[in-house]
Amino acid sequence: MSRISTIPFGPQHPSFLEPLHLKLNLEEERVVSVELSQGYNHRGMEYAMEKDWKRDAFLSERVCGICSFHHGTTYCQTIEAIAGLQVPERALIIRTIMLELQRITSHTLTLGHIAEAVGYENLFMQFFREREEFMRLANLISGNRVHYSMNWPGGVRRDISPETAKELENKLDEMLPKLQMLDGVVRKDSTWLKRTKGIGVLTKEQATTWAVVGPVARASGIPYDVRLSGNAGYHLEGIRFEPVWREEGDCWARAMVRMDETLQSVDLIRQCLGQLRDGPLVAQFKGHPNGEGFSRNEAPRGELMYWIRAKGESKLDRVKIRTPAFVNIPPLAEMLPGCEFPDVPVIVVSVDPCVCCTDR
Amino acid sequence: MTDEAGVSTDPNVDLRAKLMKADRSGPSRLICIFPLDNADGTLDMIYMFQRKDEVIQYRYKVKEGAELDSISDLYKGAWNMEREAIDMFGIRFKGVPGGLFLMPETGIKAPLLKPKVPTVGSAQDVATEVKKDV
Amino acid sequence: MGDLTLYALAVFLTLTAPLAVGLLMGVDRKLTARMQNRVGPPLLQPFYDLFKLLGKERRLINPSQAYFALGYLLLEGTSLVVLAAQGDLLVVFFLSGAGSLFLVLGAFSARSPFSQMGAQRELLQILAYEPVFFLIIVSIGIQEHSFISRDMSQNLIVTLPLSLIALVAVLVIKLQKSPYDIAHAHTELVSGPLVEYSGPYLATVELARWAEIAVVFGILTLFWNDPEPVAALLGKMVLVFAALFTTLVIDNVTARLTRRRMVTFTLSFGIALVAANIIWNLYLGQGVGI
Repeated sequence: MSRISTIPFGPQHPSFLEPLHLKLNLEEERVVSVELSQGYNHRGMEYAMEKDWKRDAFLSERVCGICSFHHGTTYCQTIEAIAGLQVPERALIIRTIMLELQRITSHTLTLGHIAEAVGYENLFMQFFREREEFMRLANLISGNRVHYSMNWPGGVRRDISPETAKELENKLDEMLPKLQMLDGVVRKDSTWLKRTKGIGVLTKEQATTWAVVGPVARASGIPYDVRLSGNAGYHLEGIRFEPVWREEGDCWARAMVRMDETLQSVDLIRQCLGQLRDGPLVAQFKGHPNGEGFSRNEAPRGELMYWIRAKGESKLDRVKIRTPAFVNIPPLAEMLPGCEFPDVPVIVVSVDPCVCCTDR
Repeated sequence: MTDEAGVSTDPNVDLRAKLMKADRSGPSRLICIFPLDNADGTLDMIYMFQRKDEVIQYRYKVKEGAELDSISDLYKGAWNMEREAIDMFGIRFKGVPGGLFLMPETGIKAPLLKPKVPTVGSAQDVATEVKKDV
Repeated sequence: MGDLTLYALAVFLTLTAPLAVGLLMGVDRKLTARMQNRVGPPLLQPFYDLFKLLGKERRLINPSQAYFALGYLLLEGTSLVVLAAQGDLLVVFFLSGAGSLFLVLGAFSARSPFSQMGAQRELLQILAYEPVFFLIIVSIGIQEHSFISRDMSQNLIVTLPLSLIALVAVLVIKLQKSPYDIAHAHTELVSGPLVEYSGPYLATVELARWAEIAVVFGILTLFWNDPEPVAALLGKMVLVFAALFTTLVIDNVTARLTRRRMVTFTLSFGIALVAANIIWNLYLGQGVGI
């Protein structure tokens, strides 16, 4: 007769950055069942964003701290879709550069976090050390490390001068070998592989049923990336990339997808810098938007969608934000049962739960 | 984007028929389920899917407080989306409990519903009323 | 050496050894930080932490926790006294083992899920390293024909090299370094068996832990015994630093492995190493009889 003990992986726990509650039923350190509970960070963003559409260009960034530019860009893209604005090419290229920069900072943070959950603190520190250089780059271009605030419906608010572009390119050349060294560790280190290979498997059928997106889906054999559908600057001439995907569906595959995407982002930024031509920064727009529209973007965690209905006044009628973490967290109820207790933080962090995106 | 919109047939029957059609040649991925408030006692339920490279939306007009069938037996990912709709708009789904967000019992019910009379009884007035009680 | 000098030296060593270990912990943290591309805390940080803890509010779940913490400290202290008085190594080992059991009991006495799980993991950790530790002491006894540490000859490092390597493995577990920092895995169990301890009681447990580590390092220093005191002291310090540095390097290149792997590793590899050393010395080396 076995004993089931209940361990609360509570809202406060050293391995979670954000409050999420897991009630684990354990039988001798093996998880039997799990109950997920969220909503600790619900701020009513959808209600707050109905008040003023101009302020929302900045409020939408504050939905999340780590994919903030993606939120801001998707919001602006939606307003542009409703109002029928044509964003100038230089603005699209600048948006793409900042989107990819944010993707690098987000992925290095997640990889460092997975390393910490596995107990490999040295790797965690190294990832954060490399991430620091990219935060300084973002500071150089936009004046901020986290919320870039460079977007406005119709274009961007800040420019990249030729000197800044040169410095960006030099810094990327300097950082690429370091990222490649970290890639070597994530790919081959023996204790890392023992802790992440075969853990927390999500099969392709499960991934389709649970409607997961982003690196979680791409690690389970679904090669879909929203950037292929031509949002922001990804449809422009001279910008080419292939979605990174794998088939194993375990924690290692998810970490490898993110590592490969980081290296791919460095390449994409270089391509964008090569395509930077002179031109206006913003398409002028007078009045208020009127109509319905939606837009999607590939945030670091997956597909981000904004759906807006506006009625020709300064208030918006409905703002719906569908964040990637919202669909990526529920499959934990299927991934966790059957695993050992030490694997629980690894699996949860490999799914990359951004609870402020989930709860809004 | 293809919009198969505005059909006011019963969503329970119509949506299920559309989803079970043999036309699912590529993975039909669920994107989102959410309601809109039309401020006249009806809600628009929008179901967004992705079929191959395009996004399709199915729209249904339902009354406020109606009870719909859940599609979480076809798509497990719909469970949390329906719970959010229950919390935010007061609509109901068969077999799905609300309470996704940890809303207190004394709080506002269905906060995203539009106020019927603009000035009196709006969400802001309800909020100040609740404060006075507590 | 006269009896009075002996006792004075024993008391002196007992009082200063935990403090020396505290300084060693500070060096450990600074070196780890430098390896990880960080600046790291000041060298005396463990002492600052200890004094800070002593001044905090006293909160207990139940009084047994305090008694078990005190028991842990007293047992480890006694073990250190015996070792410092150059006494019997077996007595040192058993006292130290009893002390670590008191830590586990203290964790079991608190009814919180993390504390219970941490206590079970700590027991498993003890199960993993104690047989190896015991076998190392037995190997010393067989080689020297005596368990009294006063009688150790100077070339243990030459005759028992595999035991030394196994002792470094035991040190990795005792110092809670990856890959085997299972009990105190802070990303899983908050702080394992110590989660319900705070304030002065946590300071007691911390001091007792320093005494426990001092015992292991003390046995490590027995591997170098030079008749000339200055050379002996220098050699012992070099040995201690070399062992610490090895554990640091191992910590910084590995993730945390599972408890099953830890037990399998020590009970197979560790025991095999020491057994090989004993067998070599007994039958293939000098051919000495017991």
